[in-house]
Amino acid sequence: MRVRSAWVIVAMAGAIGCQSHTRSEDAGPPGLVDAGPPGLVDAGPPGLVDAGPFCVLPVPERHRPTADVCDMTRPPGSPSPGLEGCTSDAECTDGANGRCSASRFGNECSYDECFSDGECGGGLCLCRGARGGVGSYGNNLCVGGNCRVDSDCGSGGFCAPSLGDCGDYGGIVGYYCRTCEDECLNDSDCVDPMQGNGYCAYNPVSARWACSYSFCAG
Amino acid sequence: MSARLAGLALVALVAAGCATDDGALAEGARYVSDADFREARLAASFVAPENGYSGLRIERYGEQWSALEPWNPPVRAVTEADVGAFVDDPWRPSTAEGGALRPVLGELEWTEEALLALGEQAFERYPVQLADTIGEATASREALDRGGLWVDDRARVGGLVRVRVADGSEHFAVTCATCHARTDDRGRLVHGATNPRFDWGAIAYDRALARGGDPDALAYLLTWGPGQVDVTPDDADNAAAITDLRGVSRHRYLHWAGTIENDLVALALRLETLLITSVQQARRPPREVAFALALYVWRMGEGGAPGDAASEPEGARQFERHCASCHGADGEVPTPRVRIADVGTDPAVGESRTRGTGFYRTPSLWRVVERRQLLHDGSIESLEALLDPARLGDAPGHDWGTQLDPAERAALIRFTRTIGAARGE
Ligand code: HEC
Ligand code: HEC
Repeated sequence: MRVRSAWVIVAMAGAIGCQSHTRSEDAGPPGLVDAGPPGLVDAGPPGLVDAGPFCVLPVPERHRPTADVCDMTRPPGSPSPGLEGCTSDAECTDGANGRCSASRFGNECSYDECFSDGECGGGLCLCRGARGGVGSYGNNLCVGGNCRVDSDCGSGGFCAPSLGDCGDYGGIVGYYCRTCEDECLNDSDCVDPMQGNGYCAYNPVSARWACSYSFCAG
Repeated sequence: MSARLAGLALVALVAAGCATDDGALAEGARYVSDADFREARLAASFVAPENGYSGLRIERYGEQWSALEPWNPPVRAVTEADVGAFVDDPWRPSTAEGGALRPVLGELEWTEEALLALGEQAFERYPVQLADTIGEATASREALDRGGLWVDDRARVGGLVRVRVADGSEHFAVTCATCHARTDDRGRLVHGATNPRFDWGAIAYDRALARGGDPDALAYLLTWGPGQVDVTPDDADNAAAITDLRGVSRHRYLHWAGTIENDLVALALRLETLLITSVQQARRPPREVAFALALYVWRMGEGGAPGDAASEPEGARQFERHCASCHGADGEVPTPRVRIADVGTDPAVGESRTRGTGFYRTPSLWRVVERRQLLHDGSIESLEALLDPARLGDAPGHDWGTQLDPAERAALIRFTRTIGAARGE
């Protein structure tokens, strides 16, 4: 699999030099930290984390200091003439800002799911254009995670966007607090001669950020 | 006895119809309990230790990965009742009534029966890789269909599970059954049969496009095609066909690219390390589960008989002349691998710097009649198409048998279809 720049958020110039950050000496090998016995995990539903991190976290390239309120306007759709399905935006009336655009199956309607975090249950609202590298004509949508803004992660904490499983092409799937046990800070930490170019993502299995490499199981 | 001979001895025992096989159980017990044994067998199983797949395992399996915590989280199968249920709140907890695989570790009886039961359960329930992106394909029946996810007669959906993880949140995950199972004409799930419709690339494409992705930048995802998954982090577009697992014990090598010398312990190690890398090396499966899965898969090719030369003498003759130097009519593989250039099929999977060895392995043709897609990239859908010279322009390579005249070809196909197939019922 090839890592595509389409979803990879452009690295900030003058990247933070601090590579050692909090991959702390006392954290031990991955997987040995603080998790209960297998099969006995008994944590409650994900909620906002309120205690601050017990370490000084370096600043990640991407994080969310404040909540966004999305632009109410949405550029017009781009249906392909000759395809089945809708023919204009006016036919897309089942939700907010309906737009008719081409898909694999003909022209289809899409809608803005939200304009602010409050409309997303426990999650947050990802505005079009706020997604680094992703086109600006998509729909606003709700994504999950365990925080909405940096202050949800305690003082000195960071709430950061994470790409998902099996490659980077899924775009941002959620926002998660950075932790003292994180194994990487930015994508540039995740280059491995045997595993290729990875990206730094939240790994729900270990509840920390770690390098993720672009391949699907098989 | 070398690993290879042990593997062959096992095949022989299985072929002889042995229901219990103490050799396999003893090897499994050693695999579970003896770290030196595991490491030695792992190192011995790699054909090209310098490729990324092998190098990673050689470097990390011993110390780093054995220190990982075993993972057996609460899971439950996704069912029809869940279709559309997670659209608004994908991270909503719902595994309350589910549970981890049982029994594992201390309680497991070390018998063929108990291990196969655990393996069967794990095949449908053990979370292989978190996949909330695929979970989004459960939004509607239509979305399921577009992604090629099955619904079986027990109302289970696509082999997906909901899994509770360390931070208490819940996610969709794929299991072996997502890729390696399909429903028969009565809706019953057939383990080991490739799901030829499952299209991870297209699911990802549709999702990204709907979120405003650029169709041109995403078009590569559509090059995977149904029944294929890009499994290698090697900076190349080289999706591999999901292998039909019935008959795995008969291939001399594992992976299309021939990465691993095949035997039961090598297979257990292959599955254990898959389950480590697919959670980004954060946990390892309980080894009992890895071995139970391996044994379960190893037994899948049982039954059937060698090619039926008595009923198809002309086809058997053609097979002997054009095919048998590589693929035995008895399911063996006399020439177990062939240089990529000599096969002549698309080289991208074979040349992967992650899994590649310079060769494509010769698949055993045991039960080939049941395979819905052929070759490493699934580019050929049937024996008829494979032997049809007209395809060579579009899909070159593996041209053996394409020069036959139509009558010879038809006979060859009839004979090849009997290899490993059940007979005389
Ligand atoms: C996302 C789809 C997917 C999932 C999930 C998956 N596999 Fe596979 N599997 C594949 C693909 C694709 C290949 C071919 C890889 C190759 O040859 O390099 C493969 C290859 C294999 C092989 C090697 C077969 C051979 O003949 O070389 C075995 C054995 C196997 N899988 C077993 C399993 C088991 C057991 C599980 C569950 C623990 C599993 N797989 C989960 C897609 C999947
Ligand atoms: C020189 C060795 C060789 C000969 C001769 C040969 N094959 Fe193959 N065969 C291979 C290899 C290697 C592959 C895997 C190629 C790939 O995946 O690109 C293969 C793949 C196949 C497959 C696909 C199996 C699967 O699971 O996808 C079939 C079917 C097959 N061969 C049938 C035949 C028949 C029928 C003949 C005789 C007309 C034949 N082969 C002759 C080496 C050979």
